[in-house]
Amino acid sequence: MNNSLKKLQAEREAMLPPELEDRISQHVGTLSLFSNVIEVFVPNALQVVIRLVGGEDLPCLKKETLRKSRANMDWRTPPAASAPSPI
Amino acid sequence: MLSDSQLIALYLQEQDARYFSQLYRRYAGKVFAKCISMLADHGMARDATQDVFIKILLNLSKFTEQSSFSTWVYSITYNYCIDLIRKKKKNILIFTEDMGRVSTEKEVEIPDSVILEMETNRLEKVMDKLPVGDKAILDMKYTDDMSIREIGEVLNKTESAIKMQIMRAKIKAQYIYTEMFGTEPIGA
Repeated sequence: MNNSLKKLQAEREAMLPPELEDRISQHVGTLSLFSNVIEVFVPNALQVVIRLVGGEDLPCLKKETLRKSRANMDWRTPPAASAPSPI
Repeated sequence: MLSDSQLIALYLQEQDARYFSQLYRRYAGKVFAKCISMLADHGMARDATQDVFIKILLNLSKFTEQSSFSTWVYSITYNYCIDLIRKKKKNILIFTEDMGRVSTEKEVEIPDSVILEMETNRLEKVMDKLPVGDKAILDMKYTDDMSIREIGEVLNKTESAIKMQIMRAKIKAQYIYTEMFGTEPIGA
């Protein structure tokens, strides 16, 4: 059977403005950047605030923890893709 | 070619915009066509398409694969457009009649050909005269090939209410066609 609704949809699909993809790509890029900024800077910013009010270092950012994880690294073997970041 | 689910998993894992871009290319045209159909305005449809994709992007991690990705995308599109129309016109009629009062009425068989065999330029004019919910429900059924159950999930209605609403939308479309062009549609 003929399907005029599908034909109408195909005609309208062809009218999609090409610049829309760039606009959405910009949003995707901004969101990705924003999530990276949060991931990298928020723990450190939090650490600074905690120190300012006289608190202890966050366990994940303690120097001993960082040193320990660095000491376990063998420079001759490349890090595995799934290995946790020492920082 | 990667499936929708694979693209979603890769995007969520690697945050690489190229995966989302592929999803965009698959569905942007369809989303835009639905927005034009429901909003009847090119500019509004363009902005709505952008907003729908940002919504999809922000909620991608919540997609549970209970339905197909296409059904999920179309449901976001329909709900977004209906909300937009409701905000603009507070007392707008979404469906021909209230969907809650359908079970007591006698069912009338209207062949699908009433809609499917119409000339596209005439169909476009008829669709413009239909309430937005009727347009959406006919689109879901005949353009997206969604099952009655899937349409019910999108609109949060029972299957019998959906069947009745499809039938009413077809009757309404047939009536509008006859009023506009002075003849019965080809498949009637």
